[in-house]
Amino acid sequence: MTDSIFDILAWRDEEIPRVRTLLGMRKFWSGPLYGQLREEYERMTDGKPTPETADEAWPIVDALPSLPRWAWLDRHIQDRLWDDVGKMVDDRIEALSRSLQPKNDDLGTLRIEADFTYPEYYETIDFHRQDGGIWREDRGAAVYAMGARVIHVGRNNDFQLHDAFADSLDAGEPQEILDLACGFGKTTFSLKKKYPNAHVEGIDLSAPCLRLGRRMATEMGLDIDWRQADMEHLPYDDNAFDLVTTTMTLHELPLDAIRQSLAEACRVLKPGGTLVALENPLVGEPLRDVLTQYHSQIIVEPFHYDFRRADMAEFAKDAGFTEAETHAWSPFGDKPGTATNPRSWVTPWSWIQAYKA
Amino acid sequence: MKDLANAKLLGDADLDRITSVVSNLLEEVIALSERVAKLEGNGDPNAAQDRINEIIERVLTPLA
Repeated sequence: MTDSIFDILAWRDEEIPRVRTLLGMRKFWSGPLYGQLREEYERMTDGKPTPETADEAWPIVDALPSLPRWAWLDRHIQDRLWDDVGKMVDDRIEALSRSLQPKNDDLGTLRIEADFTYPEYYETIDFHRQDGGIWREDRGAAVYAMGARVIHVGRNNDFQLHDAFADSLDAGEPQEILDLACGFGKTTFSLKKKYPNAHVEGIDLSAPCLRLGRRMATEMGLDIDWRQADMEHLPYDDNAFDLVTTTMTLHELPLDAIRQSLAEACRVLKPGGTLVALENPLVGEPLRDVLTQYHSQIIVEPFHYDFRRADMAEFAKDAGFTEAETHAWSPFGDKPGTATNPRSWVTPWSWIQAYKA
Repeated sequence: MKDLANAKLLGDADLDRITSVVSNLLEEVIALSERVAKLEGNGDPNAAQDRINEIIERVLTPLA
């Protein structure tokens, strides 16, 4: 085996059926099983006042016969994902350690703090049911990186979603870009590919993820700077960036941490700068919204409930942004809750875009 | 003394575990079936996901 991180983390032939089994189970969960739930829901609400909010629908959803099976399979897939992928990483752990050693031709910079203080919620919660999280050791980051390729039902093996996000940005020609909570760089890579002449920097709490991100970026020829930092306390001067992004992050934070992070993002943006956050909100369809919140509970996203009920545009304005808006984003043409396929589960996406005057 | 000869012995948590056992077995069966398909020369990789989806749907149908 080579020391290439992409070779190391590539699926081996014998592993592919296991990955496809996870995808197949997720397809069953989001297709026939979700469709069954919807049929039951429609039967139970037939001839009665239609629930207009998630709260109104909640007791009905709780009584649906298929709900426990839907929840069980959701939980099982998530646990099985980390278990399967964990074993795959264990088979690669020596090669992984070799690959992540600093090398003379590494691109960009990597700054890891010797005495870093993690937020308490970050240290105490195993988000997404991943035992040990992604920040304690390189193994956890690699498990996360491999697992992330099977989460979004076949469309994320090459992180197409993140490329689509970057391609959709309309922020002029930013020269200084900061990607908050970048993990191992899924969005950061896409930003550098879209804006090759810009200085792109990614920050995250997880040192192992940053090491992994730098190795991947180097192998892709992407000159990106990586820094261990907390988005609530950004180690940058005021007015330093033209564009600040964060994807699938805010819902993982307590509300007070979101407020603080938005204020920091506003502080480090130049006047005229833009913040864009990709998130998955409630969609205003009661059944789907209740199930979305249960899904978040099942996969251990404990702050999602509060996040989805908060008005992020208002939060952004409170944080100092002069304008802020949210809008739905369907990069692959699937709009949840539409008449075209109401019995298929699709993760709803939305943008939160805020401007600093 | 409990009537272990006749009482229902498995609770909800045990059923969760047993369903996990069944589901894990399904994954092992799929992994083996793909190996067999490859050995027999019937393992078109482009059709693998469809083959696996069909097995999963057949096996998990009672859940829906």
